[in-house]
Amino acid sequence: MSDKSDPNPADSKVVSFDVVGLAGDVRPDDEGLFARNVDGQLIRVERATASQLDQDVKLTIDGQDVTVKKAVPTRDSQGNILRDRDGVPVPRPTTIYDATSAAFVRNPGDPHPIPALCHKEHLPPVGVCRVCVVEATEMTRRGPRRKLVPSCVQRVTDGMIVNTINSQADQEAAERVKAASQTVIELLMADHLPDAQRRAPGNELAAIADRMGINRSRFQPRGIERGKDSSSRMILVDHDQCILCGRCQRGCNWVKHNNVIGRGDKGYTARIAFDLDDPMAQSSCVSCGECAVSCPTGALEFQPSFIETQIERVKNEMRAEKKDGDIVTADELVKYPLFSGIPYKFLQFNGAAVVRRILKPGDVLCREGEYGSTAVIMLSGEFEVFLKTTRGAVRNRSAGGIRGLFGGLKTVLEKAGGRAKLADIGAAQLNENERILLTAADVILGEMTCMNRYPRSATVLATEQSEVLEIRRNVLYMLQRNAVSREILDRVYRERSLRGQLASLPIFDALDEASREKAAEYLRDKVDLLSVDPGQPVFRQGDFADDYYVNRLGFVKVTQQYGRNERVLNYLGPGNGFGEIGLLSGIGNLISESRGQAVEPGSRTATCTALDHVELIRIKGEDFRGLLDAFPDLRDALVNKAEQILRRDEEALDRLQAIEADEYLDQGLFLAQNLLVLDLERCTRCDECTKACADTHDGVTRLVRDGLRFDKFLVASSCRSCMDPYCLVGCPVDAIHRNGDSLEIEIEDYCIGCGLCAENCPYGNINMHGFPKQEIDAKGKLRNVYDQQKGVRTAVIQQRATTCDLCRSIDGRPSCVYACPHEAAFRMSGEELMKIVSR
Amino acid sequence: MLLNRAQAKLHLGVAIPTALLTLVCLAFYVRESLEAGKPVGGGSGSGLICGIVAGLVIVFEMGLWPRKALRRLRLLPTKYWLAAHIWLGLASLPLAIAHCGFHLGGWLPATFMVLFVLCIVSGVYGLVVQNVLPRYMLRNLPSETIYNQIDYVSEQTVKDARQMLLTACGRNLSREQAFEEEPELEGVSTHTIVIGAVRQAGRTRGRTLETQRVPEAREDRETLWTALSEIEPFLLRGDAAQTPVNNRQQASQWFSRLRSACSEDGQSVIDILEGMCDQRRQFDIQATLHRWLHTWLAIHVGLSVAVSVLLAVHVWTALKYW
Repeated sequence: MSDKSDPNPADSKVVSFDVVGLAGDVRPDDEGLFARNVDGQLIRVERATASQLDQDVKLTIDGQDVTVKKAVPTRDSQGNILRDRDGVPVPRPTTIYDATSAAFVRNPGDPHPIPALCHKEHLPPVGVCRVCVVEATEMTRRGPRRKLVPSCVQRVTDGMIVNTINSQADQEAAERVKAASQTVIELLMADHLPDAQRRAPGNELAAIADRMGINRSRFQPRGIERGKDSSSRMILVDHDQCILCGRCQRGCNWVKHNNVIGRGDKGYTARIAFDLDDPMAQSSCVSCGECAVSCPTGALEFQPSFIETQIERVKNEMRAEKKDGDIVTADELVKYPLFSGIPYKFLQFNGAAVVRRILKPGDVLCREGEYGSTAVIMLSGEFEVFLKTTRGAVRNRSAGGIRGLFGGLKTVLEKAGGRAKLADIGAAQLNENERILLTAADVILGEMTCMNRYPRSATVLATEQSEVLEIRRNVLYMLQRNAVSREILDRVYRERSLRGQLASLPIFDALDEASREKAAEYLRDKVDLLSVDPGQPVFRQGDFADDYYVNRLGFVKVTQQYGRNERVLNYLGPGNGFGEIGLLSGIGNLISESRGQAVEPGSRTATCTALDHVELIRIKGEDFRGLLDAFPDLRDALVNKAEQILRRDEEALDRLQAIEADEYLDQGLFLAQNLLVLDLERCTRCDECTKACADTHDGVTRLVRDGLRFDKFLVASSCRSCMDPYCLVGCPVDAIHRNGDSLEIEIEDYCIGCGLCAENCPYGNINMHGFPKQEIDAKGKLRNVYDQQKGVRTAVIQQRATTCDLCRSIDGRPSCVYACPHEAAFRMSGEELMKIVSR
Repeated sequence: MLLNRAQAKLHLGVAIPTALLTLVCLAFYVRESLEAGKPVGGGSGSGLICGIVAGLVIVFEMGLWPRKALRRLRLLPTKYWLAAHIWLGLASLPLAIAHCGFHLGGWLPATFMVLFVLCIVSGVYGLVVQNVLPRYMLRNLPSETIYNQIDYVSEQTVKDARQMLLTACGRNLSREQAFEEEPELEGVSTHTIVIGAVRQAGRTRGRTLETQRVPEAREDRETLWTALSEIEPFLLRGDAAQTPVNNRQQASQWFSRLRSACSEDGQSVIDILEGMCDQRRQFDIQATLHRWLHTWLAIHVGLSVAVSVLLAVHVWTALKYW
């Protein structure tokens, strides 16, 4: 589902589909000639080329014409596309199973026409069970050739005719396929499906047998017993039920990279083995549960006592924390369409990770600024999303009276607008006094908090009797990994939120409201939804630029390389777009023309990397160009904006390249753009700077006259406007970001006071400042809110983040420097400080 | 305010016009005195001009006080005010002497003049200490902190020391209250502590934040906890406490004895304890220097207020008895 760039696929423990070195002229169906040992499995792996990703193949499946690409990008366990070092997707051949999925599994929960046991969409196919057999007819020089093939590994070819067990077009073929598949299943049942497991939920072998109407096997069970391993307190291993499909092995080694499970013994006694055939409890197994979740039979099952203990522990926690809600069991969860595609055993394993809550009208589901670890699936009811914190700008105003006459100031909250971007609600934007209504049709909210541990963006309360499921991170992770769930979530997002988010993109600022809507409508059905894992680059500096991205969840780090070093240009939260510079430079050399050779046409000027779990909207280059053709105003505005950004970056880069000093680098001063530096030879420690700062900000100083020393200078604790402003990361409403022109840190008026930026600042230069809470009265003016307790009226205080604003709210001349009587305080960049010290 | 070549532009911009103004006034005064054959007094034309200029200077000098109080107002950067304060203040003395015709006169002008001279002397003293002490502090007190935070930093140092010993040696079994205090500390136990390391950076030593890994020294548990209990009063109160480490030399001997009583593993813990004592010693010196740097100001302001009051009285009486 997502685009993931893998810098070095060889290192990433992903099975390689590259079969360079194999005989090139072997026939694809002669698997014995080129079967290869991949992690203990003898499988057929064929070479696919990047060009095949664009080649169409037409075939017929069960009488229906199907067109698919000859190769598909290789994906990891989360559906992320794997890319090679050059950013090109690693291709793998499209299999009959893939083509059948594309043709027949259109809606979540649709049964796949081909039953499969050893194959799972997130695991590389190995084709060992042969349950997924289909009849494939290909044209050869000698005429049509009909053959039963395993669909999970058999690649599609042009003109191929495929019949599955469901085929109505060729019922005889369907019967042949069914007979073959049925025989395999009966053989497996005879040896590996005890009667007790016939109705066991989660046993896929039993489910397939039921689906095919097989009541009992015609074959005698084998006489040799392979035994059980009950050493683990979490997982019970019944080797007799194991069909050696290798799903546990691939789950352990390829998905989790634990490399614990392998094979032991030979022939009838062959079985899975932990490490060097140790009992599971004594092996290096980390009890992640992936093997049991992957197992299609009862060979690996969670111990009942483990699940009961887990549920009891969560119940106790809920009781202790006085939380309401009921734990939802796996049996209940599989009935919900959203969870229907998730393996039963996974839901069992995470049995205590889903809690049902019933909310009455007015009940608060979550509060802005709170930390949480859950997302919410809305099952019924209606919810109101709003910002409880009054929108107000922190400003300096005359104190009034005599004090005001003598220049006295007070820091106040003033009525202000501004659109808060709610990271937790699909990056929806909220205007002042605006409220968003969500219903069960919106399905989910709170993914940002759940996946990335950020504070809640907004307060959500129920407006009517409502029912929700609170899910923990691992369940959400699985929902995003599973194709069925992912499709539901993406469809809902496209239907409910995408258009609004596109219309509010910053790149459309130059357009009027009607044009924005038109532009959003133009793009809505053209965009892709992607997800990127933490640390994975979205694109690299110098890459060919052909897409524009909008962030809808998580944070993206924008960095630029200079020499051997790297600097952070920005952290982009939900609602922000990126990639326009590289894209614009490729459109008729728009930027290159005006800037000479500074921009390589069509190449990325910076590297964008996912800082945490990131969900993106991708607008393809051709659609972006179409958009610019349709809206010429947008084109001019974007070119101007891109030029501004490039000019600013170049200036900053020139400054950086001149710097070389270990001490200077050690102390992080090279990152600073605006230091408050005190010359300790001149400073008499009179504290006039601190007092002036306090006088300018209503008695609360935004600097502390202590900090790092560099030569004879004291670098006081005051916002440095760092080049790597980590304070920007995580703001749940995108209220803190760079000032567009000068790279200085700016806190917007819609800060909700969660304090995350203050925690993030490594230098302690962002402070939480209490202001009287205000609400808008009937006349539209802000009035203080008071709390009446025992007859005493006290102002309600709410916290806001404040940082040095270089006294821009007065006249832009920092009071600390202005008030220093000894000419000891200076504002300078790290580079200027370096120059002074180097003299 | 520092008087050095780096600030020549600031000072000369004020000092030269001030010197010219003073010289012009004094030239008038000398010419009139020569004509009169004796130093003329405040009643003469030039004497009166000198007096008015000196009086206006005193009024201007007092203006620095409200200027500093009204920091928010953009009435020229304060450094210009202070430079003018210094040079005009110094220039006012010869003008005042010329104004009084080298006579102290009655009790009022005499008191006025004495206080005025004391005021200028206190100002000059302030100027001297401001030129000397910051440099001394920069070079000799790398652990310097904000003056009114000394007590807090000292308390924090003691907490750090306890945390370090807890990590390195385990609980202090000899302390009765240890069991009450230590669980809290134990909860945050790591093998790394934060230290304000003194390090060389460029030409000057400075304090930067560093962390240090604490070694295991369980063998010396009792010795080290006892040592901490002995130096703890010093770490908290400095010279006000009587401990074996008040004096640098005695401290050095005391720590030598402690080193010889401890194993190899305990040596780095002792290094950190010694560093903490040294930091506290620097705080004491800083506190002393801080008083030297700032208490004169109270005297200077007091004298300035007295001079201003006497100036007003002097003007009133002069006009009354003209």
